[in-house]
Amino acid sequence: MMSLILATTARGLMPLLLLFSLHLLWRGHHEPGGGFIAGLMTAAALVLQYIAFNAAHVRKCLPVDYRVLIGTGLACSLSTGLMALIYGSAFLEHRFGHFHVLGIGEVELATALAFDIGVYLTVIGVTLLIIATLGDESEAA
Amino acid sequence: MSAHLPILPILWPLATALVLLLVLRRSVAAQRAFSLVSLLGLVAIEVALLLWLSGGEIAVYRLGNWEAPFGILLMADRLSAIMLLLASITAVATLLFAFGDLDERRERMHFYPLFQFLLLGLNGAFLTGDIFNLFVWYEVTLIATYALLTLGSEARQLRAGLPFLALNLTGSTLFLAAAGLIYGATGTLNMAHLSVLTAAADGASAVVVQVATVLLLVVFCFKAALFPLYFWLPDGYPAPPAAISAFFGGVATKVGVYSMMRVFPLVFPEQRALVGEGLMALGAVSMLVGVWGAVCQTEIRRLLSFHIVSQIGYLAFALGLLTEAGVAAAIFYMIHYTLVKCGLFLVAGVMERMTGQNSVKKIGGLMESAPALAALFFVAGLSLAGLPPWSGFFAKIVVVVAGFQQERYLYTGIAVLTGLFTLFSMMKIWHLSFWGEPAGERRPVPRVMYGAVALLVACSVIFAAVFQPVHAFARQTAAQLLAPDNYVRAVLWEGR
Repeated sequence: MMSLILATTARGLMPLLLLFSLHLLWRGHHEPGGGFIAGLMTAAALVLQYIAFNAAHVRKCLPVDYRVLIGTGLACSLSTGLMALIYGSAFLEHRFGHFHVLGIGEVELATALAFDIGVYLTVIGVTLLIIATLGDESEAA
Repeated sequence: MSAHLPILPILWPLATALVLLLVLRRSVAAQRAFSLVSLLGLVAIEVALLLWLSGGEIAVYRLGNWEAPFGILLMADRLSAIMLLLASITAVATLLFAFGDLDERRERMHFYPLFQFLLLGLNGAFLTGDIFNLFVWYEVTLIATYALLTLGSEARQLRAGLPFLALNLTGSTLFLAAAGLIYGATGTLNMAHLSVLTAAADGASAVVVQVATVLLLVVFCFKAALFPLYFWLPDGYPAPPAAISAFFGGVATKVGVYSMMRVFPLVFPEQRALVGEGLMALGAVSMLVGVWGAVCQTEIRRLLSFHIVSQIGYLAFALGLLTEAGVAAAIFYMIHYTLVKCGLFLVAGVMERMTGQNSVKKIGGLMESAPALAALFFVAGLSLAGLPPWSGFFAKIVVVVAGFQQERYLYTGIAVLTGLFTLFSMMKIWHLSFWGEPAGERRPVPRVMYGAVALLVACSVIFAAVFQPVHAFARQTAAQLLAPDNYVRAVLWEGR
């Protein structure tokens, strides 16, 4: 059964939640936040859509196989760690640099962010896969 | 590249699992081929690691180049190298067996990536240098184990899976509590750093360290299925297909034993005597309880599962002596028994596949219809029972000699007696299933399954043939383990 109030709120909250989760992902390098919590927040935003609408709606929001999402996330984190080996330093040793981006100004970019993006994707994939498997029989197996 | 060798056994299966999951997900044939090739590569890496570390070097790998004790580090010595190689060789046989044993439905349910994740967790546990990451790798192993145990979702698997899950969660909670206590009392979880700090602990923190020691002993006993925390094993391990339960039976419980070998001499040098006495007593009871349980069973893989409990008893007893001869005997025994136990589980798998039955009472006369299988069982079964000239004989001899050296006559006597009961239980399988009137159907069995069993039995025969150099190596390993100062130096002072 669909509730009009919940559906309207969920629709309005969706972009806010996603933006805030990206903000958490971005600030995670120096301040509280990071890929894990950001991933949970994005997943929570999608779970809200589940409750407000239905499984098919969430499928439309994120039309990828969650297993692939998990794999992509892990691969992203793993390759970030492996990059260090190419430079001759230890696995997972991170680098950072300051870049000037037109219109924004000085920005610090670190390889730790790429690692965090991997975590972010993995967490979204795992959470949604669990919810989908428990909630929707067509996902099982 | 050799500087990065210690981390490769972790990265390799992870990368393999990702390729299987992302690139090769559509084709089962491609997944099989790639898993096997990758596993052989892993064996090559681990042979290189063993050769490198056999001189007695302790390899330390600082992740992200953070210095110990602040960063996470990996630590590899002879024992880690032995365990890694042992796990991979067993994995090769299991994988080959799985090609024939698993139905395509299970293969499509991500068996191959899950298997790689299981190896990832095991390898991580064999390499980690701190207590918290040992916990993390246990969890990685467990998550893969849960999935593999229930892969295929048969009623029996699910029935075994739920208690297994609940009990392991309890075990993990205790582990986490112990790690928290240790961290609270000493402010570190790095094993080498702990070695220094627990030796110096006094007053209240010494009591906390003692409590944590006992908690860890409970957790490791649970993981290793030592009496009285063994009850989850005989119900859980026979439930999944034979290939999976063979790998569990061969390798998974060894992580608990490995952790005991690693943690107690290194981290708690002051509590050694207490832990040693505890391990010997529990080991002796485990031997008897396990083998008596086995004698009453008729379902082959369940019977073999009870034997795991009794064999773990031998390991705990030998380890509990805490002498060089004792620890060497435990390492030596572990190599023999991983190969043989996994081999026997695979034999059981072939028997079940061929006859469609899983009870010794309903199978008969295999000697005539499957002489090759009978020969393989003959070698592996007598080896498990400890009859010469098979590997188990040498393994039991070194344990018994180590026990007599310490004048532990009662426990050593129990060890000998247990060997006798083991022989009885192997003879029961032989007598009922291989001799006698043919019973049960005869279905074709894929050749590759025989190949997998033969691989393990061959390894055990080679092991028996070269037992002297292997035992010398085990002694060196034990000497290294019992001298924690070397670890402290390697981790905290060298390479700065």
